[in-house]
Amino acid sequence: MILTSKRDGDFVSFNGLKSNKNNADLLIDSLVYQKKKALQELNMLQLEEIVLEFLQETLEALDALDEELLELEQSPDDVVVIRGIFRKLHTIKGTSPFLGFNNLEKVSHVIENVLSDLQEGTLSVNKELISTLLKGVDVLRSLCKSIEHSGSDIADGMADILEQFKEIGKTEEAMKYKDESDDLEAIFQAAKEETEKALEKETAIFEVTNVATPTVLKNNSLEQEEQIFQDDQKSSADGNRSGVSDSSLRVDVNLLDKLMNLVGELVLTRNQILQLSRDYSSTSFVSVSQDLNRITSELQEGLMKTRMQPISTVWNKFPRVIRDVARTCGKEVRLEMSGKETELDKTIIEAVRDPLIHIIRNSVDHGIEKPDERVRVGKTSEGTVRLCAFHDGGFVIISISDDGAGLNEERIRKKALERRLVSEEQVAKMSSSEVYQLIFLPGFSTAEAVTNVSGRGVGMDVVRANVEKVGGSVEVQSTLGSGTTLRIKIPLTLAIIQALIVSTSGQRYAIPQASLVELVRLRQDQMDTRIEEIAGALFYRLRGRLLPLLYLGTELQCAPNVSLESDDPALNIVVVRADGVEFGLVVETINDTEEIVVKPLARQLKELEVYSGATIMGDGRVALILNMIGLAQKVGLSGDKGGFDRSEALEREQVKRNIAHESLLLVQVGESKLYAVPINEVSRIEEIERKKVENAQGHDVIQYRNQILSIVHLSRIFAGDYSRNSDYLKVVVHEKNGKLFGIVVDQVLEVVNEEVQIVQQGEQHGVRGTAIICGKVTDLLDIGSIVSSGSFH
Amino acid sequence: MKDFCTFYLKNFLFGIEVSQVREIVRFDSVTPVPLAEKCIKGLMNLRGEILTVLNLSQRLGINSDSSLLQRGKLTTVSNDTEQFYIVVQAGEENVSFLVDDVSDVITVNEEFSESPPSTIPFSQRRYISKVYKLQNTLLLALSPEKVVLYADK
Repeated sequence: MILTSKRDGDFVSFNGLKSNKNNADLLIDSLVYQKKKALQELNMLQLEEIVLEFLQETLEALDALDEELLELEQSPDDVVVIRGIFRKLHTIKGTSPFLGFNNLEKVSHVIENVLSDLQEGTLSVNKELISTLLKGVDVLRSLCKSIEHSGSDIADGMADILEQFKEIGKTEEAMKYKDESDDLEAIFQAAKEETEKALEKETAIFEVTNVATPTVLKNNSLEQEEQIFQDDQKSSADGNRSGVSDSSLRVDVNLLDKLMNLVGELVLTRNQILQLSRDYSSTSFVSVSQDLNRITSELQEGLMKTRMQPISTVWNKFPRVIRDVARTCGKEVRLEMSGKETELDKTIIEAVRDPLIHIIRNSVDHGIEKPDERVRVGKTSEGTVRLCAFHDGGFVIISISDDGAGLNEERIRKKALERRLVSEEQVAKMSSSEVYQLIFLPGFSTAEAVTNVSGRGVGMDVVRANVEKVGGSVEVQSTLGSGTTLRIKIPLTLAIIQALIVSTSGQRYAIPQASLVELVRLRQDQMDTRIEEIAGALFYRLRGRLLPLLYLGTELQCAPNVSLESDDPALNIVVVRADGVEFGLVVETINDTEEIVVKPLARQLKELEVYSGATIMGDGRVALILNMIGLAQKVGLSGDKGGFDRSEALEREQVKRNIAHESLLLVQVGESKLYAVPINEVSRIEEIERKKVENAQGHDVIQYRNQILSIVHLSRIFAGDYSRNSDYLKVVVHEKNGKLFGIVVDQVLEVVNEEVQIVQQGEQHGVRGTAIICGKVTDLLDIGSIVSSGSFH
Repeated sequence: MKDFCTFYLKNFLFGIEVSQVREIVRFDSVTPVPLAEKCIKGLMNLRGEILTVLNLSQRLGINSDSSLLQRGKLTTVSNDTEQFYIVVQAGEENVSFLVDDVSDVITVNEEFSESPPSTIPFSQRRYISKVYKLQNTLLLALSPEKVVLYADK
């Protein structure tokens, strides 16, 4: 096949000299022309499809080229990188003439020449060269764009770039020809042979299928595609940096969106079926609906994944953006990125793409000072822009910080006054963080503001609007002289979320799982001791900490209000976290967790920050989705107001991390004797009827999960404790080497996370020591020694 | 000539252009939205689409003792739990209006129309695009976009 011979792989195999392949190419031009003509005669539609595919591939390759060229700039001797660039250009060069895009071929050809020189070491990497190469890539890109729009490859600056590349090539070309003129002839000969062979082959095809030319042509184009495909495979096989393209497939995002909507509907229907199945006793119906449930969940999960993309898909463009902006501004800027792999929904990524580019451009343009200026204030001449992305709860945080000059508060005040965006009194009252917020005002940004105000000028209002459109927020922090940080917080609000359904005043509300911490059910007799009141505000003592309580019914102003005095047997507290603050939400009933489809609220309700959307429940009725941040802000529980709450939440985080070592289960024997058991030694806590206790070989046992659980009452191990008699035994189950041991206690109190200091070492067998926990003297049990001692059989 | 889908709010005859009316439904389960404006009755699920329900009488500030007009036709307001909702397209979104009773589709002639007299208080006038003089009553043509847009705080 002729096309094969045009690919460098074959040439390399028989002469090992890449640089001459260009000359050989000339020989084959006539054959290429034939092929081109054939293709032109192809069905237009088919051609269009091929062109479209080619453009997609090429544009992708060009994006990758940008990145690789910058990589090359950093490590000029990296042969792998050069090879990668070379291969990509070669593919573009090789494919474009078949589709009749000669200019595209020409430009990629000259760039390729330079690269082959680089590869051979006759040319060395420097900043100028990389800039020229990048410009070349830009020209290729605009050629592609022009193909997309007009069908032909015409672009400005093409002649320029060709000239520039010629200049680069000139110096070493002469040398090269001198050195290699001997080989040249041999190569020409070999190429000729190869071409002739291929020609023969082609004539053969024509002879065999001389019945209908169109089919032949079609075959050829198919073969050609096959070749391209094979070549792709080959290049990915020997290049360790690609390979994904073979196993992946491009899908129209609109199609995914449509599928997503359908799955959303399916989830709703599934929920309705599940609801129905609870009323039916037919087992087959129940099992079918369970299958439906499982399959729907899997389908949904899978589809969700198709929409997730690492943030690097956007970030990859940034090194280039920074470099270009820095060069035009005459600045030196280094870009640091962390959290590239953080995954986000495609639509959200798209939404933050432009704002991010805008912000980093601003960081370089206005944030970072000029090198001499930096040196003067004692900084390194090279500025740094740091990009960082990570998940935090149901959010993704993207922070963009620079070590530049920072925002100049006074100038912002002045500018805002000048532009009459705020009144003088307003400005006078503003704190510095409020002043910084002014940069987000529409109209604040004008051409003048861009250069004068140290901050980020043009279109910060657009940045904020775009981020808020996807439910996110932008914050700015700045220190004059040492830099500015912008934090973008975007929710992972996907179409479908997990939520806890609660009800109050006869209405159901959904609380997103993301803001949920835990659920507490408080019996009436516990309320008096565990709930405190300070000036009308209620608090619950949660593990020694005061948790602010909000009554959902009261907050939403829908009576009846469940108060402490009501005869409700228990209080349901949903502990939630929002904006760095934890609080307890008291609801009438806690129903269930469910997967819900988030539907946005209409414009009239948008301003109600207490809700983040609505959903349709299994019975077809609508339920509102509560926005915990909005609720917290409504009652003034926002994290901005008190560092206290935030530090508390942080503390809590730390405790959580230590849970494995520090958590103790408090149990009570008799009226007041307390024991503590490390929670990681407790596998379950069971309540078992006393009647079920049987006897085996003189020991009390219980049949438990098809095993025999031997039990012993803690009061019998430690003589002297008085044990209460009740119909139910509370058993702390401990598992050791697959065997179960049950320790009967009178009461299971709670789990505490405390740093325990053993005040008195254990003297009694089975006791590690004595400590003061929650203000009470408590013995720490050593379950291991209790189990191994004679207490159990 | 225009076709209006007509309905009653108390004893006033209102109309919305047929082209803007998506459908008329009877419905009984509207989920209230606490903290929302009074005229927002809640949310309803219309075949998978969540619609905001506006209580049109509330929004227009129409009470039965309104001294606005005396010539309106008196109707009985149905006491069913199911009420009439007119689903309309207002701009880009669909909204559902709670009305007291639904009447016929009436074809009116532009000749008999007048812009709303300025003696009607602005709070109501702003929602009315035209007044059509029918034989025995007046038809107040409502602009759904404006009903959705202007909210009384």
